Amino acid sequence: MTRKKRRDYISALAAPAPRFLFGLAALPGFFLVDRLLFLVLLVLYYGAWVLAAGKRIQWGYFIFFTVSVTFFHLLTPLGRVIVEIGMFKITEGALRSGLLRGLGLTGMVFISLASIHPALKIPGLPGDLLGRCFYYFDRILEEKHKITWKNFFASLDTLLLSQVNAYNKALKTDIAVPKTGSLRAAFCQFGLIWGIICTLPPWLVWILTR
Amino acid sequence: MKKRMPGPTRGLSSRRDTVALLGALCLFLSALEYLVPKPLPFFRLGLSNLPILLGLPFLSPGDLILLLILKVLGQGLINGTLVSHVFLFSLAGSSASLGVMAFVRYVGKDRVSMVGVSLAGAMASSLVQLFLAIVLVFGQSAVVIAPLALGSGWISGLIIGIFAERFARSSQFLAALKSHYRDSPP
Repeated sequence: MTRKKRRDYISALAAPAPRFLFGLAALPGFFLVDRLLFLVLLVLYYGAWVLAAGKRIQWGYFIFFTVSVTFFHLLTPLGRVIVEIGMFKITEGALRSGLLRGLGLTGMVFISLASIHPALKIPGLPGDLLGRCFYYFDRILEEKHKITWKNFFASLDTLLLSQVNAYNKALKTDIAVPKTGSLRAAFCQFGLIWGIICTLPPWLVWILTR
Repeated sequence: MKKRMPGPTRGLSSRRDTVALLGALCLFLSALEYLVPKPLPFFRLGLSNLPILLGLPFLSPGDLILLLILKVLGQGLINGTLVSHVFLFSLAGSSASLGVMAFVRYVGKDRVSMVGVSLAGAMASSLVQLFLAIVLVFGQSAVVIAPLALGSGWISGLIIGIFAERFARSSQFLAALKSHYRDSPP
């Protein structure tokens, strides 16, 4: 169950909150791009940033996804017929709208993958609960070696039993140590470089191709 | 190794702590599912629904909704899909599943087994996700994949239901969690 952790280079450019917000700001611009070539380039661009974020991309899955979305769009003919394969007609409009939709959704997932960091703080009760949830999640991951496939249910049960109320018990002995600030942390705080890298390209493409 | 304790959560009740632990189990099972080979690219077993199914008999409706929020938010953060259609599909499917499972459980009480409740939830989730797939992704032509989508939903619901039955029957963790939850003030 172990997987080598890759380095997240985007963390050096932006803290989780601005990283998320700039990713969010890129989405409308990305969806406004309606030139296929530019859309493909943007998808590859954000794919590269997903890799820079230390995450894996299942290329096969995304190719299959885009092809299947396009295929289903082709079932409803639209516009000029490009190719005829027996009864099946590939029309220009259907092919274009299918590829735009498939690539658009793939690109959206890539923007999301690049701009979401697990340490992103969510406000309110869900955010507070999520903090505690991740605490337990870390503890389960740390002790996952105790789970065996042979006795999966029994070993998982024993591990979980040791976690009941562990947080409240730990509060009595464990005290939070806030991280001290640094120049690099202050630089990351606003994530302006990430803003230029992530948000600007789709908006620029849209403006230049209007 | 000392753990960092998120400050604001200190005031949360023990009941909410139970919800957080079940939420962590959702995330762990979700991570575990990546190790299971998929027979079809879109097929998901939905192991992360197991804690919701287990919590259904004893969690309050409000806490069940919080558990659902934890599950989808946590998965969105860990998998990085928080601002994508994947998150919308997950939220819609899980909400429909929880709503239908809670209804079946409320109406059927103990006469409906966990397998039955799980099957109802899985079908609701598959239907909603199929609807979203038609409207947002594939277009009307995707109706042809309905039997496959509903069939795989039925299989995953059955498997999760059997897992839940087996786990609930022998789990000391679940028994401890229930008593911890009931003994704690809301």
